[in-house]
Amino acid sequence: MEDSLAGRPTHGRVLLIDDGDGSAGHDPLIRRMAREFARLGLDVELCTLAHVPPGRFDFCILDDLVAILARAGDEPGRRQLDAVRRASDVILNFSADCVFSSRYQRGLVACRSLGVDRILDVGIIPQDVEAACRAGVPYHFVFDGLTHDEDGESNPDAAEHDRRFIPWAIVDRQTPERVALTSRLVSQVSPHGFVYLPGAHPHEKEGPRPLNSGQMDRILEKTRYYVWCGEHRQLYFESPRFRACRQAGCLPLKVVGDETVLPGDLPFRDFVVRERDVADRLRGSDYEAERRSFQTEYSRRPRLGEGLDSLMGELGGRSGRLGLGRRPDNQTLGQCA
Amino acid sequence: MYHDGVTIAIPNWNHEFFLARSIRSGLDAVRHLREQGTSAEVLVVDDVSRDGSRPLLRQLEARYFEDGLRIHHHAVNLGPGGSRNSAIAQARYRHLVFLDADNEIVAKNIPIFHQSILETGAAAVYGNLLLRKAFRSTADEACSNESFRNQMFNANYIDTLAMYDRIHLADLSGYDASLPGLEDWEMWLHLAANGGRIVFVPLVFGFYDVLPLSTNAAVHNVEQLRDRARRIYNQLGFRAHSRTKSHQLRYFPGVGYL
Repeated sequence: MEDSLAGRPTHGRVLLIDDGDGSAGHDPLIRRMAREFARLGLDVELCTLAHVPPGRFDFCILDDLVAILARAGDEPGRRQLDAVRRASDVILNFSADCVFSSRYQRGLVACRSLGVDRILDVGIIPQDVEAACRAGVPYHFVFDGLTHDEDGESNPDAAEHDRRFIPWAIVDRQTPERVALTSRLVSQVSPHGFVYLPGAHPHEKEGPRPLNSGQMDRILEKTRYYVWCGEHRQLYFESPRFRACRQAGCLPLKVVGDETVLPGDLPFRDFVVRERDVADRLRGSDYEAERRSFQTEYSRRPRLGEGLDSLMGELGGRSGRLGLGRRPDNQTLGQCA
Repeated sequence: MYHDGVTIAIPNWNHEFFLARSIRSGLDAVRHLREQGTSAEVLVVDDVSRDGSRPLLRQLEARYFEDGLRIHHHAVNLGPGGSRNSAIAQARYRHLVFLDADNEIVAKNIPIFHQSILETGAAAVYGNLLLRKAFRSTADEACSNESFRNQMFNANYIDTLAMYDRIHLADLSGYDASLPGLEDWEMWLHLAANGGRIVFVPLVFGFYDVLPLSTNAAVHNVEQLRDRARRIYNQLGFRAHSRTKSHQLRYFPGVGYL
């Protein structure tokens, strides 16, 4: 076996395997991670399972094992992944799902059967550790902060406030809870919200077209509040939505069940609201002040590269390249194998 | 001659207890349209109701005529399709909203749908309809919530509550009254198959109350009627391979096509 990353003075080699489905939200995250790894001085290979380059890797990160297997076919996918496994010192499955979702659970089963070493969760808050590593696979959390490039980008300023003529937007798969929320916003806040709630069409070859990230950006640039609620009752923060808001200059509003306990030190606490409070929250908002507060908090949180650097340090048995140590936002959790 | 403006047409058949609400939402829409300089009216077409609708409508017309309310009474019962055809003939304005008497429109959004149909030149624009179960104040389901695609030739997911260009409806000779209960679906297929553009606007158009004993639920020979519609528009299943001009059209004013 070649030297591990820890033993190398200059370069490490990272393989990122994209699920290749190109969906909004998940796909850009793996690309952002690739850019940050490259900025940290690593050799980065980003490819699909069918196009893995030869040679050894210090790390391999799989962008959603369930999706990769679905795309490659279970049996051929497993054979290819076994080869990747042998060529990598450490193999991680990157998950951007709630640990209570059935998708995450399917991923856990696949991780265990394929000998994946660790689970990497990139998000806003660490998740329930017990549920996260139920299959005995250690769980790592990295805060989904801005990349170096994103931090340098200016986002739309307050002067553009007037062009935000869409008071709120809801874009999600239709559920009774989301329709009820929409109904409440139309009746109690403003009827002019952007509403796209397509149904699930698992058996239809050509279902309703999802909004891609470019279309979402165009909508959010005209929107004040991007509102959503999860499909399950557990507290989970969809980090791509927070990031999309930051980039478009609008505000996120995550709606949770009335019984949800919200810790006081929750990141973006002001942008999480219980169902019963959502109308009052939107009616009584000081949009400009909230907007400044949101942008400031985002800038205060660690960058994505810092979290990845710390992770590399831990997995490689040394301090991260940036030598920043590990900030509380980037907790490593769940060493419960 | 079609004058610029919007007619909100309310076909009514024995919906006395819902008329005040639907007419109120229609008149609110008229007020919002007029505030923006758009001519508008509410036209109720009563299809020989036998409940208390007729005296109520006479009183409402006397009270709200200046606000834009007109009533047209049928001499004989013509059914939903016939009522809509009367509205197409009797409306004053070019753009037409069909609002069932037991439903409700979101009045403030009607000017945005009008803007959308003007900007896209569509034969019809529609938006989300939020479904409420009887006696519930909040909705828990939505229809008319996706853009038009060929799946429409197999099953309908777009309600009649929408805004239409009356020129297109008149040009296609209106609704086919021989498909009672399915005439609305047939009109969507008719428009799409004849090159009209049907555009989804991701905005809430109205509220739809799911009531017991509705006219649609009372249609018994549904399968036969569906087969007839398929015979007309998709006899050999070719629609799966041929896209209409309406395919996946989504538009939002100020944002554009999506």
